Amino acid sequence: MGQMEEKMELEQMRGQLALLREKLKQQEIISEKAIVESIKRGVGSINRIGVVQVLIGLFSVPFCCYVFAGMGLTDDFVWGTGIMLTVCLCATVYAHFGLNLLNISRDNLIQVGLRTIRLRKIYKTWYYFAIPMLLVWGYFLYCELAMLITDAEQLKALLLSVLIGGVIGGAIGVSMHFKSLHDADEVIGHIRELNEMEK
Amino acid sequence: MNDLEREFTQVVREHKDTIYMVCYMFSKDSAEVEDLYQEVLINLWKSFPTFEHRSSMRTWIWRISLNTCISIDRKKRHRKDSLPLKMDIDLYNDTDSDTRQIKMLHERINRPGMFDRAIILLWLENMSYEDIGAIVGISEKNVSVRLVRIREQLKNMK
Repeated sequence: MGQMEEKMELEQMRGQLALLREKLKQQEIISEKAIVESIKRGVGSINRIGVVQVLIGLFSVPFCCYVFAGMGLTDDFVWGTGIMLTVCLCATVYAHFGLNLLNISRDNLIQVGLRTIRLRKIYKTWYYFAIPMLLVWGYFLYCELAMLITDAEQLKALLLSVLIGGVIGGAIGVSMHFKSLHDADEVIGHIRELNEMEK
Repeated sequence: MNDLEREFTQVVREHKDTIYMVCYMFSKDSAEVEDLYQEVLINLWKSFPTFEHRSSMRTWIWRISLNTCISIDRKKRHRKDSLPLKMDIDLYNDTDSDTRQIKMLHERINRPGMFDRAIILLWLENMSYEDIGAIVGISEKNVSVRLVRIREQLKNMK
């Protein structure tokens, strides 16, 4: 009887130990969890910037067209501006497409990594389109204003205001752009780190 | 991360449950378990480059973990070295039924002295007397004698 009891007790303790081991096996090591959290934060930040850019774009297209048309600029310029801003808006939506739909977890990090690399590539190649496009548009705007305003002083003042506005807007845009690139680099770095740990 | 660090991280990942289990059985609260866990990891890391695979990795992990937990001098211990590897679990404050069972085991195992605690743990892990002896550094005969005494103690604890 005593032996039987002892055996049962031993089995109970072994069962409890197995429970403990099972519980511990399910646990992640915190550093890994922290890395996944950082990836989530990074992707969250990229997505937030994307949403802000899309909202600014959605507001800018009709607003700019309305203001430029109201100023008496040519239809060509107004349409050109509208198309340019729409292209920028579509490019932003395209770059962020998919990344915001992912529910990031330990299992889909490769997918997150691939989409982030894609976003980074689009952001990087965007310079080749954006800078020439901006230069052409700036020249176009200058010509339009020069045609519209004959008074040199008035033209100078207006161009100066456009320049100041452009610099402020551009600085905000560039900082958002670099913040997204920085976040994307961090996300890719973290995913690489986790993959290395798994190897 | 170099090859050695990568290999070490992999070993810790594979044996995290054993390491944490030993630390839990030698601690009284979650802060202490974290301290021990860090300490064991530091000792594992220090010994890792010299591990010559004469024993299995499992035995080596058990030996270092138990030796660290048994021999640690809490007064001298300081946390100047810190590894960012720890577990996201609090067995002292969780209240589910499995944790209650685990706490019962903790209570039982915690009553004997440090050395006997190590032997019970290894015995519950179904290890042979030879392996237990190799890990804690005593003979097989000594293990069996101690186990008889420990079992008696456990019986009287009820």
